[in-house]
Amino acid sequence: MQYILQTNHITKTIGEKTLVDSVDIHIKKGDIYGFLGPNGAGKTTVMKMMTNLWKPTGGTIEIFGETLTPESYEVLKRMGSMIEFPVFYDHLTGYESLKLHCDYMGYYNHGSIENALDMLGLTEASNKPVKNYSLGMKERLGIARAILSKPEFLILDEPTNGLDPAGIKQIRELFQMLRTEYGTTIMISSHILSEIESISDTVGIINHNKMMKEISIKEIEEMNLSYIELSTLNTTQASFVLSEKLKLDNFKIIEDGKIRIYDSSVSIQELSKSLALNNVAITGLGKKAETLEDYFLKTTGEVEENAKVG
Amino acid sequence: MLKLVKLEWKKNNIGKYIRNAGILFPALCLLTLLVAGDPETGEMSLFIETLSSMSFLVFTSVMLSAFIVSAYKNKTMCLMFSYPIKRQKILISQMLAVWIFNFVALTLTRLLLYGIILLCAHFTSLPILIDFDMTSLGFYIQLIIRAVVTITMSFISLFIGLSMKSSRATITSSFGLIILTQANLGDFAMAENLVLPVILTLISLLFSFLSIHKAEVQDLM
Repeated sequence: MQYILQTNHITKTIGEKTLVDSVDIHIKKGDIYGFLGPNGAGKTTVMKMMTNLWKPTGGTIEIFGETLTPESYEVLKRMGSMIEFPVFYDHLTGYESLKLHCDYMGYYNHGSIENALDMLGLTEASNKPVKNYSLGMKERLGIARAILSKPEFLILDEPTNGLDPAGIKQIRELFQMLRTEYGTTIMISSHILSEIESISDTVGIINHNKMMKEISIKEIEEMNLSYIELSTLNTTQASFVLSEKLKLDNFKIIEDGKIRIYDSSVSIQELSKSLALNNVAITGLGKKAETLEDYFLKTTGEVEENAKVG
Repeated sequence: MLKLVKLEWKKNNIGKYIRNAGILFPALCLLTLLVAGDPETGEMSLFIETLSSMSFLVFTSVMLSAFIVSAYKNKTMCLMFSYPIKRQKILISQMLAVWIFNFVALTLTRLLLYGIILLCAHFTSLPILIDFDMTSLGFYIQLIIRAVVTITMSFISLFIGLSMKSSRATITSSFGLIILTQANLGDFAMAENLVLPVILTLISLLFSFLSIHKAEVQDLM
């Protein structure tokens, strides 16, 4: 499998503080990669290193098959990025800001500025100085600038900040269009899972400066994450029935009165029958599916538990 | 490089600085004329040189802080460094953009001031002591050398401003430079001696080098 970007144990320490600890990321060509993590987990730091704004204190980054060095300027031509919040020269208009970008990128393609403005719904505002833009408009202009030169690889740090739900939907559609029509590889970071869940092909979860998991959405779907949730008044007795009478081992007491049964060999009917036969009072029984949200919370939660133990 | 310099002017709103220099000039003119009327003033050229170099040292440092020091602070430098251009080249283009503008402005200002004083000496009864000769080539060579030295010197304040990450430090240090070099500026103003200006320029260039030599490997905070 060809990766457009790959990091090998990148680490960043500033003074005594470790911002990112031995992170491995693999982004496949043509994928939308969701980079997920709570605030302060190290997402921005990783993205700053990928765009060469910061240099890793350890490890290497490979982009387009080349190892990134402080002198790697050519790769920047093939990338579009927006890290943290988009910055502009405020007195320039939206149009002039994009024109300036083209000048510095050495990208001259007739109509591309108009096209980018149009895609982000900024045509009307294009002659207003950026200082009069709202936060959401600046965000849009930042995205317009990042996609303007048709980069092969887009790195966007929290691109939906300051956008309303309709705007978020529009941006998502834009990303999908870029992927299908131009084959653009896109990395999007977010601390809100639902924002990227629906469009990502692969999700990387980072927490406490460490990479927790890299997994494709397909794999998550294929993993046996649907379960039967059983609510009962007597958890101990219920578990006894499950393990001894039904010979199940893949279940978990998640809280007092609630059990999740992951074993797919047993049906709801069988369950309720044997529980009733053994006098276990049932208050609720139903089939459920674990969402990526649960998975995310579980993955990030586990570390916290470990951290507490440590 | 010239293209990069032009882009710097465009994005930093050079029109504003042209206007400000346009405001500064009549003020300098008025001051010069007021002083020219005073019989105790003595050599006119010394006054013009000192006044204009002081003004433009400050003017240059204000521009350097706006073009470069503030760009680090308001993160526009992050944008600049995401372009496929060597960072040192970007920084040099910014320094050049300020340097060229101020070199031209200072030279023009001085030429005009000398011209006005010359006219006044001719057509009014003011007791002006003319100690310069605008018909000699040496006058113009001196004019250019002095402007180069003065404007280049402000790179020392750029270095101080960058290392303290402060626009205020950039501008304040230019006042420091004035105090430190005022006597010298006056001295070499009329001297044919080239040693001092060359040393000053070399020191200034050393500081410019120090300001940018680590740009490629440094993290952009």
